[in-house]
Amino acid sequence: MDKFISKIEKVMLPISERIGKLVFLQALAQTMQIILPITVVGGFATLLAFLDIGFWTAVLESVPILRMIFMTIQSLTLSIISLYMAVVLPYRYALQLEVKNPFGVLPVNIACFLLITPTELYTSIPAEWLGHKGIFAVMIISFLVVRVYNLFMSRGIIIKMPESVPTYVGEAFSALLPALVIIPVFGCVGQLMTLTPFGHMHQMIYDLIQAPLQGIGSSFGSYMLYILTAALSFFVGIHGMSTTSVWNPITSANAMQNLEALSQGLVPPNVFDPGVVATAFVGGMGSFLGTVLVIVLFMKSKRMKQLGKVCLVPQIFNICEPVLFGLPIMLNPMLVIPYFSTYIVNAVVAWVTRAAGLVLYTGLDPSWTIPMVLKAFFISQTPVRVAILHIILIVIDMLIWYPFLKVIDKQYLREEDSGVITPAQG
Amino acid sequence: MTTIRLYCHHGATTKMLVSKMDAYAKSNGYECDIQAFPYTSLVESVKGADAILLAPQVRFKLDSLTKEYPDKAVIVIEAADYGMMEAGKILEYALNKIKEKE
Repeated sequence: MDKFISKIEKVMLPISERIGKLVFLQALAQTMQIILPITVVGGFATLLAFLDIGFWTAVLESVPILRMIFMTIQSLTLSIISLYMAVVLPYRYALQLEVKNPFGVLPVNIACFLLITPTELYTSIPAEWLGHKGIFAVMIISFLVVRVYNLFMSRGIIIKMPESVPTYVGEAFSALLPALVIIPVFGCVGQLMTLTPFGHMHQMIYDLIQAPLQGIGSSFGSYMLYILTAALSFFVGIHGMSTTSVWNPITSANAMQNLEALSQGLVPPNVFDPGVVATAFVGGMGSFLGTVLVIVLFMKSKRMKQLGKVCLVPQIFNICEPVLFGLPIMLNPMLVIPYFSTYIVNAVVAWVTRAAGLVLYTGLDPSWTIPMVLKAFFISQTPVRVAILHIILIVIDMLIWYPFLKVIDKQYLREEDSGVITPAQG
Repeated sequence: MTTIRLYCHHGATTKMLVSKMDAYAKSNGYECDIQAFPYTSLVESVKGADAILLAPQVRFKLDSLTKEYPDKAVIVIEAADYGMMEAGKILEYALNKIKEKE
């Protein structure tokens, strides 16, 4: 067992280091975090425009403009979310790459994104490709634009201003040369694409990259792999987010597609979205809420009680490191079975209940720190059912953990009674 | 004034630890500027730091950071100390490491 565990560590550490170096994924995660206010406001506007509760429906019918207000908010936030990403993502990515004059890349990136979007000259930009269907396009464009921009900046291929010119003016000029090259290139590519069967670049990226990736990435297999990757990472004491970030492009696209479906009054098409994930991880990505509750409610040894005191409050807000490192669960052969079983059971139950339509999620998880059960009211249009589901999962987890923790507790009690205090492991 | 920066994934657990370390530093008369950030904001926040403290869950950053910031003490916090939020022990260890560096 010990050999097996050290093997897991040997595999997981380099993997997370490798993935941690993919700063684009970090930038993408930060971007989704930064545009969260937009998605949350848009999400609530969607819910309010279509919420089917007796008195609210009556209000909407008597004040017709109310629904228009909500739908307008929704259509200019969620439904064109790629446009917001086109502003934030290149900036975060440029910061991660430590690009000089990172602000300068923003207008260039927006221009390039719009240049590959099919438009009617001087009249309109169709919203179709500014929503979830444009997400992969915006990622690809931002990646390319920032990279090329950085080439200019790092090699010093810029129009240099004399020292006496204020930095503010100098910076505007430093972005000029890369813009003069990058923007026309995308202008050409955008127009050349109209000669291909795809009609425009968005369609090509969508058909060749986004649709197949989302298809494979949204499957049950991909979802379980995501859950197990998180589980394996935490088991060796690495934050699961650092390895599961490779799924970010897919979960982001799924979430936006679900929210848009919701705004059209449809059932969200993707099971694998932030909502189902929030339920599958009972107590944050570490899934230790049941564990900590067992420790606090049923353990008798001093050491366990002390641990419970340290862990309970953070764990309620889904912060799992204290119990992970304090118990420790990390690399602990005695806890392998309950640890992985809770992950698998929670994940399967969360998937099946959603796939069967017993519960639904909006696709939004406004903050990972919102406590379980209460969280149901932020992530679902069937909140009462989701809250009950959370409670059921917590109880199942507690039943799984109880016998294993009891063994450790008994051992601690014996040691405490005999006065021999062994130092904490780990 | 000693400047210490803590990094974990979201900057959540380390923020809890920072408030405890602050209290410990005050009661012991240490002059410290201790702050926590998510490690994705490291580039923007690390300037002027004497020590970089990594939470165990981001310990895979140790090698690259040690190379990148040779003038700073780069330390991974012991998992058991981190779990039990042993702020005093962690701060004393960091201060010692900074001294060794000088």
